[in-house]
Amino acid sequence: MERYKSSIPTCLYKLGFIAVILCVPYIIRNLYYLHLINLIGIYCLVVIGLNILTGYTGQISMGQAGFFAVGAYTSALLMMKLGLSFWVATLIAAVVAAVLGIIIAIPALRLTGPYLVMATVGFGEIIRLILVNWVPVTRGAAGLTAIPAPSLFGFRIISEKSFFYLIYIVVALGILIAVRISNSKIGRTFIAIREDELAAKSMGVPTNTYKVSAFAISAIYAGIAGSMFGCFSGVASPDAFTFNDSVGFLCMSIIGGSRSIYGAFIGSVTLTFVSELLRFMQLYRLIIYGAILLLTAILMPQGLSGMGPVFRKFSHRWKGKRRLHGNIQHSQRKER
Amino acid sequence: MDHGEQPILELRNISKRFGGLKALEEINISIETGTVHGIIGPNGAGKSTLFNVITGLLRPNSGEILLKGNPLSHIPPHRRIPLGLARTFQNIRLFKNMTVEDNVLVGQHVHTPTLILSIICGTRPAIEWENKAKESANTCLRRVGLESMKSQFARNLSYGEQKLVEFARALATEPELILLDEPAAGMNAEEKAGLLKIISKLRDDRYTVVLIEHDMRLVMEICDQITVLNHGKKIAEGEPQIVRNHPDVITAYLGKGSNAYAGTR
Ligand SMILES: Nc1ncnc2c1ncn2[C@@H]1O[C@H](COP(=O)(O)OP(=O)(O)OP(=O)(O)O)[C@@H](O)[C@H]1O
Ligand SMILES: [Mg+2]
Repeated sequence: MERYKSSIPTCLYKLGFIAVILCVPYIIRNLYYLHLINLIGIYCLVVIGLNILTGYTGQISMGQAGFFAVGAYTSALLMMKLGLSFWVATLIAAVVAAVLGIIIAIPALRLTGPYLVMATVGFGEIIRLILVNWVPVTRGAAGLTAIPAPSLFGFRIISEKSFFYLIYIVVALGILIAVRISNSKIGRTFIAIREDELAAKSMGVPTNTYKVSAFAISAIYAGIAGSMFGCFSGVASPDAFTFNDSVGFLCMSIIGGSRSIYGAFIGSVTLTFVSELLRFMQLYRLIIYGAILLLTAILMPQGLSGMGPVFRKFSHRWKGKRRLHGNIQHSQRKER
Repeated sequence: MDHGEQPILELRNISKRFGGLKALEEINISIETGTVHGIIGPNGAGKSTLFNVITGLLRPNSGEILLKGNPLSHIPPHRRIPLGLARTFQNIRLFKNMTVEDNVLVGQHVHTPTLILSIICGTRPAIEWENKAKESANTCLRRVGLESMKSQFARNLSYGEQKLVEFARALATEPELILLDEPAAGMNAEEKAGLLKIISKLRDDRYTVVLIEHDMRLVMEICDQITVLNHGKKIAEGEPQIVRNHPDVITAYLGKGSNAYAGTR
């Protein structure tokens, strides 16, 4: 990852970028598109967490929809039954999700590869079954309706436009924090565990603590995203949190590049639009996901976010320059 | 301070079985502070198993390990590192998709606090600790002569260089006792000479080094003491001169009836 020293031009560049983002709801007037953009933001948060868990720490989860659901239901119920504000409810939802993440991470410590995947699938299913069957609280298959809108200083966040600002401020914060974590000692330790857990342990890393923390972090991201999702849709029912959704999150993570935080955004944009385009083939969703995953694995193992250096390399070729020297870092050509 | 009496590492009656295979049998070894101690023996003698037992990756079936007089048996592997114990692996176990510098920084893990809030808020303390860790990491890389390679990915280095990165990563844990499992394997003559220098420099700096090595010339040249293992048993121990002429050692290496000179292998 290249890091540039902040200079005045990059500062301006950043400010310009922020300004453009702030204008998005005014540029895109079509509410359907704005709705999709908001959904992308929510998915992006889930995928950031998943990237830390899967891309950085190397633990694959196919149960993120479970944490997402826990966030949505916890915060919705707290708001509806106890009249808590959205902000407090979201905070509690994040804590509940984190605790749940820790609870499932501990038995999962012994599992790797396909066994871990199965365990997380099981977790997602258990959550879904609880939602369906715990009727007095969750209202079963019908789900929760009329989830209140968040409000800030008396201003009710209810329109697509106002949700856009809520969601993308949280996304920006989520990205900022995730980038800081991933560039810190913590991120380095996560990667070390992914690369060689035994070697990390032999360097004094308490690998279990870190693996459980990665689960907790991913659960917090999914929990907060879930809380916003509930308010945003106004309803929460079990069929919004299925195995398909978990697979979808993993797809976004892999397409965007699970080893990059920004990849989460690229992945959620790509898959959301692809799914919308292929809406008429809804029944075959899992097949499409499978095909996309396969193509990604073959053509760009580092996901879209890993394609930068490859493009750069080709553009250098076209300019007739000599081959970029030695380490084309993210392109993951089969080198020894 | 020790007074040269208490050994830094003491193994008492260590046995390790894998099913019916006795990988280590009643091993007693005592290693003095500030020495280079060689462990030699034919393939499958139990040398690497010995390291795995010392570092806690394997639990011995019986026996006791004392580090500076403290028993290690109930300390999990990662907690042994702050006590001053570090190792390298026979089959390189680097973090291949990390840079050389990051690899060595992982070795610094136990010496930098994890300031979660400071990291999230991007404030001073975390940054300062990170810089401090980088400085120590660079010192370790300088020791093995790889500072110029620090931004390369570990997977792109040559075999010998990767061995040295592992060495630097072990040094970054700030150990008193370093276990090196065949550090010279796969190195060319020049790299071996460099390795020899690095190890003698460590001895001068009062580090204790335990060295598993098949290159007899290197072992004989650098070691103060040598322990010879064969089929999980200690068959000889002592200074290089004594060990190389020991009849059991010659038999172990060259087979019975041979009167050849083990030291020239
Ligand atoms: N985890 C294990 N499970 C079963 N058997 C093992 C295990 N580790 C080592 N062994 C066996 O124990 C014996 C000693 O192995 P070890 O790796 O300690 O030998 P070594 O002296 O390091 O040999 P080399 O010089 O080839 O590295 C060998 O017969 C090996 O097959
Ligand atoms: Mg060995």
